[in-house]
Amino acid sequence: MLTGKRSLSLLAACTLLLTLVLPRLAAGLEKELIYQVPHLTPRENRSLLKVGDPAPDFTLPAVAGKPVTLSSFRNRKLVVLSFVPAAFTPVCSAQWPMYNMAEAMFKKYNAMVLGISTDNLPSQYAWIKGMGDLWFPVLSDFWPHGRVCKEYGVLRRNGTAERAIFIIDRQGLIRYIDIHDINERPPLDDLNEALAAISAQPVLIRAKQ
Amino acid sequence: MTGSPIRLLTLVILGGLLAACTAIAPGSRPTSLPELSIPAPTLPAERNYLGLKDSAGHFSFNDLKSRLTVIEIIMAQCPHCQREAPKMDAFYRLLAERGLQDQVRIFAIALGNTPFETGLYKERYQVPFPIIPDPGGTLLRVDATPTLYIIEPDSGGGSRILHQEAGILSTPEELIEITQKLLRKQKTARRP
Repeated sequence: MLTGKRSLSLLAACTLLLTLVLPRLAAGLEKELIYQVPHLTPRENRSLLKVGDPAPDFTLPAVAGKPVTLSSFRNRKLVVLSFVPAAFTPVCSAQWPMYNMAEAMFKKYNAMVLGISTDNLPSQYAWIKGMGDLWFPVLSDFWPHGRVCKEYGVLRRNGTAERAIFIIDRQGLIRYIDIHDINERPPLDDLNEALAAISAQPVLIRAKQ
Repeated sequence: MTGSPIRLLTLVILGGLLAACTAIAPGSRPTSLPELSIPAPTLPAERNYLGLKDSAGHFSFNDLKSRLTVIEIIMAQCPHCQREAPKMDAFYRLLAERGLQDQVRIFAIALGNTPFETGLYKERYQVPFPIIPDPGGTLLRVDATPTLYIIEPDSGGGSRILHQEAGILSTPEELIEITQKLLRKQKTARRP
């Protein structure tokens, strides 16, 4: 049996171990600190919506504080809805910092990004801080769980969202849909091309029936 | 109290664990880079900076005429790379200020990034040195980004890594100091 003093010295040693060793591990083996996601079914859903449909309106709580309403951008900006599966996961943690870096590209097309996941606000907050703050709002579709994701047809069976991008034009119509392979980061090139095409043709010309 | 066997044991365990941790990092670090075929930058000014011929489609480390080459491995979407970018830009400027730009050349490789993504990153952070896009992400494998290597050609066709760091990089002034030290060492080694 350990005496009180001995347990105390063991405790001290453990504390020292935690303070000295763990930061070294964190620096050297950062990958191990990130939850590794196995390969997932690329897409579980095909969006119920199609290009030309009015984008379902929504108001969602935002990390920054004030709730954000999609229709508030009507007649003002193109809106890129970026649904991502989950906070703190590798591909999602790459997609939004890429948009953060590419702010000039979005500004060029007068486009706003709305990042959406089904995580709750505190998780999103901690995650965003880790990414070094973002210039666009991050919205929480946590409760009622995945309501907006469901309306856009991108809610997966486990309650996360598909990795999906919708571009909404100034009239509030959906102009681009990419339900992307959840395991991969969509290249920025695709989004740039889509934004350029929509900017070149601001009003959707419908094919005659 | 002194010489308690439990205390001694804890110290031994603690020491062992610390030693083990120190061993993990260097053990996983490469000491040399293989001979690589890297796509040459498309901009003539960047090819000129690296000392490459106009006709060069690809280049290897040994084609570079500088005494030392600094290679930064980045990903345009990596927040750490974004945060560290100004340090690298300042390091580049300091090299020029100290008259070392001919002896030390810098370029970056953007793992998994398209030319478009790489171009945006270069513009956003005003990166003054070439960044080679590597859309397939297959040129080099690193544990973390950014990773910085300072290399010199070795006799076997590959490159010897003289200095490497990852994550939060040294300050531009520290990097200059490291580079100058390496250049001095190189000079001494060459002396008969």
